Order: sequence, then C-alpha cells, then structure tokens
Amino acid sequence: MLTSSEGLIQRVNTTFCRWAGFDKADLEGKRRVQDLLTVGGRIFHQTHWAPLLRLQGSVGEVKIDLVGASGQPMPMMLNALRRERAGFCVHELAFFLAKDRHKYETELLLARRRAEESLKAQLALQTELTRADVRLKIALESADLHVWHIDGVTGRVSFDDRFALLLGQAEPRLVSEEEFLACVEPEDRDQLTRASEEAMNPANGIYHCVYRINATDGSQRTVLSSGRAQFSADGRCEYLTGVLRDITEQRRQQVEAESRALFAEQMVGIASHDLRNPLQGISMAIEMLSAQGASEKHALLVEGVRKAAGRAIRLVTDLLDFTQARMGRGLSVKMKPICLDAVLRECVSELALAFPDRELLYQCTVPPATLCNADADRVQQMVGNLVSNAMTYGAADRAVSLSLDAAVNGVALRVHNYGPPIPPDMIPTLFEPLTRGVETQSEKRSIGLGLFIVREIAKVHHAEVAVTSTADQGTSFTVTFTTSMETH
Amino acid sequence: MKDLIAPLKEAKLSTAIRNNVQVLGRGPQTVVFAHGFGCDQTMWRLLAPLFAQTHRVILFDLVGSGGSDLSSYDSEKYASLDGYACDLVEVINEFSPDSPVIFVGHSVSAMIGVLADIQSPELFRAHLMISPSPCYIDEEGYRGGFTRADIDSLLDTLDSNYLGWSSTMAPVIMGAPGQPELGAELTNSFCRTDPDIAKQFARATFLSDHRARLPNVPTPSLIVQCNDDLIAPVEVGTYMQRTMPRSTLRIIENVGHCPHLSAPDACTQAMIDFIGSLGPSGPVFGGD
Repeated sequence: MLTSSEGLIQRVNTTFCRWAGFDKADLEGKRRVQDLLTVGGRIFHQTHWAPLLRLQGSVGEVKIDLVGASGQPMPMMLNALRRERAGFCVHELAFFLAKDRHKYETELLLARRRAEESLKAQLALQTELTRADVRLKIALESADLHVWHIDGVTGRVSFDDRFALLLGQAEPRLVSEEEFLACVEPEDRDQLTRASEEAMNPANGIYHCVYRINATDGSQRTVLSSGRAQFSADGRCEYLTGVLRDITEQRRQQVEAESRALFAEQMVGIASHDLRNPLQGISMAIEMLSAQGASEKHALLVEGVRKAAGRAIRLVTDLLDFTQARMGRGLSVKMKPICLDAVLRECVSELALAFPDRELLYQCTVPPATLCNADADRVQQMVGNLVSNAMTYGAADRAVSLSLDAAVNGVALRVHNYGPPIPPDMIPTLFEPLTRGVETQSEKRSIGLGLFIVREIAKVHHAEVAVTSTADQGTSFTVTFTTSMETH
Repeated sequence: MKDLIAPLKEAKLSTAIRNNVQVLGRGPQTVVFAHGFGCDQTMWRLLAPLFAQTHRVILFDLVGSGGSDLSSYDSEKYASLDGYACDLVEVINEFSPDSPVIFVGHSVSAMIGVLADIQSPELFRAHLMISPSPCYIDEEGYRGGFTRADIDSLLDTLDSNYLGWSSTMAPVIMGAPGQPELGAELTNSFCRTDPDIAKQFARATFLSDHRARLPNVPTPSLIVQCNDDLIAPVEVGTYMQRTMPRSTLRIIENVGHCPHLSAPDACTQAMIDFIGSLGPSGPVFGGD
C-alpha cells in the first residue's frame, strides 16, 4: 500500500483489498489507513508509530487489527517505510496476515501473565518466609539459642552464624565443622559421637548431649545440645537438627548451690552427732538423780528435765539420720533376726511413760515367736516416730493403737489414731522432709523429719509404708515387712 | 571551574539520570520540552535545535519512557499524572532554579504541566500546550473523542504489541537511497517503553479527567490544536480556551496528533508569536 504522509491511501494491491473486503475504488483516494484500524489501533498509530515513522523513516513489525468491510478485526503485521521524492513524501506499507502469530502471541501473553502471577505469589511467599525467618532469628537470639544441623547422608555439621561467638570469636560468622571440633573438649568428643549415633537410630531419634567447649578466648563453656532426627519413610536418617544452649553459668550456679547445701548438711550432721554425747550424759545424770529420794518439788523438776532431754535426744537423732539419708550414705542398720512382738512391747511401755496422759493400746495377732530380720533400734525409732505423730495429730480423747498382724509374705505393723483426717493433697508429700501437718501446737513437734525417717528406715528394711486417712476410720500408717520372715 | 562543578548535587545528578535530562543552547530564557504518551524526547528533534539558538533548552524523558531510568518506575507514584508532575517540578527546580520557564508540553505532558503549575506556580512563566486534552473520554456536555471501550481497545493493542514494543521498531526496512542519515539511525531505537509501563501510562493518561484543574492556572497559556486530530479534537481546544483564564487558542492545519513533527513550521510560528506576546521581560527571538 502507498499512502500520503497523512495516511490517505493512494495505491493498494488486490490482496489487501481481498483481505479488507473493499474494492480498490473504495480505498484509493478515499480512505486513510488509520480509518481501517480499531480505535485503539488509531491511538497507537497517532501516538506511537506515525511519529516514529517520521523520526526513523521506517517502522517494523507493528501489530495492528485491521477492521475490514465485514467489521471483523483482522490481526496484521505492518512494516512501513517513508520515502521522499522530489519534495513529495509517500509511505510504503507492507501488511502480513498474522492470524497464527496472533494466536501464538495471545498464548504467549497468557503464559506470561500466568508466569507473572505465580512470580508475584512466589514473591509474596518469599517475603512471608523472610519475615518468619527474621522473627525466628530474633526469638532464637533472645533465648540465646544456637541452631545446628547434621546432614544424615554426608554427616556434615553446620551452625548458625552466631555460633562463632560461642567459640570465642568477636563477630558472628560461618564456622566450619573442623573449627568447631577443634574447640570441643577432647574428653567429650566421644560423647558427641555417641549422641548423634543414638539419635540416628530410628528407635531413639532424640539427641541429647552436654559437653564442654574450649573457646579461642581461653574460656571454657558448658553447652547443652538437644535435637531430633528426621527419618525418611524407609527409616533412613535424613538429618539431625537442634539447638544448643550455653549452660556454663547455670552449671556453675548449680554446682555452687549443691556444694553450699552439702556443706550445710555436713554441718548439721556434725552438730547433731556431737550433741548426742553431752545429751546422753545429761540423760544418764538425770536417771541417777531421780533414783535418789528427793522432795516432791525436786522430783517434778527432774521429771521435766528428763522429758526435755529425751526430746532433745530424739531431735538430734532425727537430724543425724536425716543428714545421713540425704547425703546418700543411707541409714546405718545392724540387721539380725529379732522378735518384733518383743520389740514392740518394750516400745509401748517406754512410750506410755513419754505420753502419760494418753491411752496407747497394743495388740499382736501373729505367733509371738515370729522372727524378722531387722534392726531393733531402728524399729523402735520408727514406732516412736509414728506413735508420736499419732499423739500429736490424733484426737486427744481417743486411744492410739499399735498392732502387729500377718500380711501377705510378712507382717504388718500398724499405728492408728482417730481425729481429723490428713488433707488428701498432703498425702503425696507426707514423707518428704520438713512437711508439717496443719494447725497444731508446734512445740509438740520436732522439725518435720519424723515421717521422712520412717520412710528411710522402711527403705533399708525393704519394707513398704502406706497411709490411709478418713474422718470415719481415722488415720493408719502401715509398715509391711516383706522379707526375711522366719518362724521358729 | 571547580566551584561550578561542586554545586552539582547528588539530587541533581539523580534527577538527570532518572529523567534523562539534556540541556541545549544558551539564553536568558529557559524552555522545557516534555513529550507525550507513546514517544520520548526525540519528538522534539525538529523544534529543539531551533529554540536552542536563542534559548536554554531542557529536554527530558518521562519516567518509563525513552532513556529514563526504568528502575525509578514506581507503579504507585505513576498511577496518576501527579507523580509525573512532581518529577517535572524537580527537574525545573534543579535545572532552572532561579528563573521561571516556558513549558512546552505535548499531549498528556501539557496536563502534567498544569498539575505542576498548580503545585509550584513560581516555576512557570508560560505554557505552550501542543495538542492537549484535559479529558479523553466523552462526558455529559463534553466531547473528549473516546469511550471507555475505545481506551480498553488501546490497552489490547498495546498488549498485542508487547513483543515489538520493547525492542521497538528498530527499522527493519533498510536503507532508503538518498537518505544516508537513516543508516546511522538504524542503530538507534526511539520511544522504547516497557509494555507494562506503557499500559499503566496509557491508563493514567486516557482515563484521567483534569478539567476541574484548568481554571486554577493563571499562567499565560497557548493552546495549539490541529484541525484534524483524532486524539485531541478542536472542540477540546475550544473548551480549554474557555476554561483557562489567560489562554490563547491557535488552530493549525495538520492531520494527526504531532504537529511539531508533521507541521513544524506552523507549530513553531504559533509558539514564537505567543512568546513574543508575553511582553518585554520575554527574550527577543533571534537575538542574544
């Protein structure tokens, strides 16, 4: 097609006419090329390729929709050249049908849009991921946790950047496995290997290890490393990942607290042990004093001192036993076959003196000759503690009873009292040291070690202690001796 | 010399890069040329050298067009013409801070000039509007020339040209005999635009309605309208002349939307006449 510089069609070939559905005569000298375009195409022509044709002298591969006689837009490619001859300017336009190309381009455009959309979605995801990552990092930093990762296949270990600080570096940076291993205390290296081997075992899967790090700044740190393994469907370990915490300070404080507690217990042990001798001296002197005839007032005073000394002896004995039990040595016992019934009768007569205002009953339903392998002094101590406990917490107007009955594979020693029951929430900690009953006259009580010692004595005798307590039935402590039963 | 270079602030450099600012010629009066939709500053190739003989001429590309810095394109900022107006204010502030300019805006840039004038009137001495339109879509009692559907069909055309649009139209038809300069230009390609930016700019341009702003521009304005222009019909010119307080309408014989390319003489004459009418403070054309 030839047109004037304004676009007026001067000459056009038959092919174009056929495409456009016009006669040559309808086009030549009558229509402008822009009249055959869609409105959008006209704006595009006016704002873009017409000025370009003037500026460059040519345009290539412009995509336009030609609107022919039928009114149906036809996709076309256009190349155009501007020629000036003898002061006249003509445009030479070459059109190509671009139906297939149009189809292809439409698809391309769709694909491009889809790609752009998924890119957008991906970017949004990435942004969210980055945000989550930052949040996690802040959280880990605040908790002073370091993240580590072990590849299940290669066994390579990697750490987060801040791990460098733990190794004594001034700035966070990537730490290699070799650098890390060089800092692990040599004695602890096997432990590390074992921990990851255990974790990689599908039956376990849990990583737990405490080891020391010799930092490059000369300090030694203790770290707690815990993590988990991830296994594939066929049970192969894919990776191990976890966190590591510097517990140096925690450890130091723990050790310090333990040694302080140990020292205190040792002091209590020494004091109670050393106090026993002078107390026993006092006790013996009182026995001698009371044997001599004296005035009634004098006898009353001696009796008071005797009771006080007895309580003091029980108190320091309890303390000594407590410290021995706590310090892991356990109570000292001298086991031998004894007749429990005889031991208990002796207990009852002694306790009757200690609690002169109260009624204490005793009943034995096992054959009197039944022997039990036990420490008689400890059994006496245990019964003393249980009865004293029953006297303290039981109803003052009702009797406390002690009994010895047959039990499965042994004998059961039971101390019973009436009175308000033990609150159920106290039962689980009843035998812990320094647990006290509710609201009672505290001067009657020792320092809350009685039941603890009962349990410790039962323990060394392989006996079991049980307690039942209700408002109707009262409170019963039952110690069942299950071993070394012999009958003569 | 050093003292002269030193004040070239970073801001100036970044504006220069962002808008591909070019400065030609010397003269007491600065004239700023702004291109319209679909092209770039190359459009002023015939007029700029002429004005540069007696004026200081500033050419620039709107962001997203021609040689502008595409990385500066911010789809939120340039969703309306206000973003472009901000850029124009910055260009004038940095390249002609002390004296108000004569602003020549083609098509949509004439309206960008109006918005910039409302923002910073002290920067403008006069507007020379080539084929302007404050609203392209027909409204009640107003004929802009297009319907909404027409603009959608433009967006479709832009879409289907996206392959060619970006690599744009480097001339594929080689050398016309007797036009040796064409050979050199073959390596150039004008009016490059990213297809997405072209579409956004088309929306910002053709869907805008700035008619309400026209009464707020008291700066002397020349409206150059072509007698046969599809994009900006004569009615639009007369509407603007009625609405702008100190405007002059000149209708020139031309088919098309770019009289500065297709009717440069008539276009230039209209501009020179108007500049001459601005009064004694205006420069004398052909003097200096």
